[in-house]
Amino acid sequence: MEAIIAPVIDIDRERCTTPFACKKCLQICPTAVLAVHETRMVRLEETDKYLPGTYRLRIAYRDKCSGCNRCVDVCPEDAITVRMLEEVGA
Amino acid sequence: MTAAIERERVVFPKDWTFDLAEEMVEAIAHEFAPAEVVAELARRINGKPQAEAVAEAEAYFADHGHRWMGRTIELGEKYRDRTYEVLLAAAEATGELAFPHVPERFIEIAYLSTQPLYSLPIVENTRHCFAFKMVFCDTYRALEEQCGDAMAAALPCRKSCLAAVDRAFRDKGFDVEVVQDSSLADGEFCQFTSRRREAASGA
Amino acid sequence: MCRMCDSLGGDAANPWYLNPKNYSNRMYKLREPGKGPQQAATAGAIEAGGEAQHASPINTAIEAKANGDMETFNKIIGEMNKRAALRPGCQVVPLHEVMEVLDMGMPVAAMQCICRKTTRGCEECSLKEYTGLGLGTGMLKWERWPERYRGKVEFLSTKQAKEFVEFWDKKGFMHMLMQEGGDFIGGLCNCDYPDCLPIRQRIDYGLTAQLVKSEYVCFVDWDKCNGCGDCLGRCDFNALKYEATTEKAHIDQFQCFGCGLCETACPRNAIEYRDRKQIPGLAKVW
Ligand code: SF4
Ligand code: SF4
Ligand code: SF4
Ligand code: SF4
Ligand code: SF4
Repeated sequence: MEAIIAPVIDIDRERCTTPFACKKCLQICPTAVLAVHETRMVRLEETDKYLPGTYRLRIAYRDKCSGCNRCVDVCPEDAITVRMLEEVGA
Repeated sequence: MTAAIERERVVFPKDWTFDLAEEMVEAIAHEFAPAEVVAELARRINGKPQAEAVAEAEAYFADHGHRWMGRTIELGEKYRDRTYEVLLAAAEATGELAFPHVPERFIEIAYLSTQPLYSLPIVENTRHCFAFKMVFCDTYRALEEQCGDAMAAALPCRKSCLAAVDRAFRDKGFDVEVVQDSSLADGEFCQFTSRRREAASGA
Repeated sequence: MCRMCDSLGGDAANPWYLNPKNYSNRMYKLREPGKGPQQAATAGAIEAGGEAQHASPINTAIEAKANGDMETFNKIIGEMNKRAALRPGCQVVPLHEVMEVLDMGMPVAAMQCICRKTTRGCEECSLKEYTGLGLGTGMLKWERWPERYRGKVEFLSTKQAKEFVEFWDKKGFMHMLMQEGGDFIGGLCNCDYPDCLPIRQRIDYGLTAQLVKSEYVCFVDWDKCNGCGDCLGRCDFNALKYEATTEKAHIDQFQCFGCGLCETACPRNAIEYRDRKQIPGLAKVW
């Protein structure tokens, strides 16, 4: 059986700076491939989700990505690209 | 899926503390140091026959336990912390939780302040019952050292623990039956269990 | 008996999670000499969610799988399962036993679910939205880490807590107790696939040891079932389907986690719990 290789997902973090405030891709992905984490946990303080860099979008379950491109289409910042390996040229 | 509600970001005052006030712990440690409590007892029972000495020691410890917890409650109410304040608010909001946690707080303070412990091993804290154990006890060690093995084996100091635990509950409005299920004199630890008498009532 | 009761004190009649010992916890801890004051140690920021996350074994395994390297994937998952099997994990608990747990009366606070925050970016800000329950005296100190709780929690009476869980059960969340490696019970979660981390890790990646099935397995009584389909769609474990041949609901006993969501949805009481340990072929299927 031929190995199934999942698409390559790239997140441009210069563009995606406040993912917990935006979260559009997180909520639209059919298989919930992405995840968001706070980068700072400060005692006695809630993290400011509007402050760039306080949260980070992560590709958590890449094997479940079908390349359907819904996340790409919904992203207001054009921060995500999803390509098959042959397109990446690996 | 929940939509984000726009609201103020929560930032609590930086000086909030959730731990016991060190000043309070030191004051109780100073006033009720086991070695000194036992030294005073040793002076009182010096030369007395065993039976009489044990009876006197028991009375001495019962009084000591009562005063120890009385002072702990006095200082514990003076030195509040966020953990306690959140507990009181939660108890107010739910009509539950005051038992066993309000008395538990003072029992923890009393033992943490005077015994070689960083945390009190709690065996059970539910709506019906509060139980804890003591594996290393300085009072017991002082009894062995200053009053001899026979006196330690009689464990007169249990009167102190029983009186202190009972007072913690009673002063906070709960009627409990406190029993000692295990003792350092014949086992590996002392364990005290307090069971609510009127199990039906709410708070 | 599975390893949970073995290590946490439980028996056939009373599983570990009905043993009050497992919920007992102190309220305070003194600072040990030599350790800095808690304040200072945590005043700064703790870096989390950064590159360290990428380097964790499960993420390495998932990357390998995504690249078609099943050998590496299987090797890592096998090692993780071996390690996890040495410690208690979380366990599925059906609604009627969740009610018994809540009757013990430990502090219970409704709070934001961490998995849902991570996977779907959910922000649960009020009692109407909270889906998780934090248990025990540790909740009295939630304010130390407002980010963990998104700014607020709500302490519930026993009655409110039961209504809360019933509400989410109706909505379609199964229940599990989060046992943190034998140390304490982190919470009572109301979960579904795919946002719940333990469910997902077990179903998608075969991390079997971290999420233990419930003490039960569900059976459909075909005399009572009329095939109405009300239970369908409730199962997060791919165990329940409509069997067109018999025109009845069908449960795969080996897939079933005994969460009871199908049972609480059936209007005809056609689904029954059976003790997993009493069924020879399932007694070791946890
Ligand atoms: S939709 Fe785009 S900008 Fe928004 S969180 Fe996702 S990647 Fe970031
Ligand atoms: S391409 Fe589709 S499956 Fe892949 S991450 Fe984007 S939305 Fe999810
Ligand atoms: S009864 Fe046990 S715990 Fe109490 S003082 Fe005596 S030895 Fe210590
Ligand atoms: S079949 Fe029913 S009890 Fe079994 S896992 Fe599915 S919903 Fe839960
Ligand atoms: S809800 Fe009950 S009666 Fe309806 S299909 Fe399911 S098991 Fe059968």
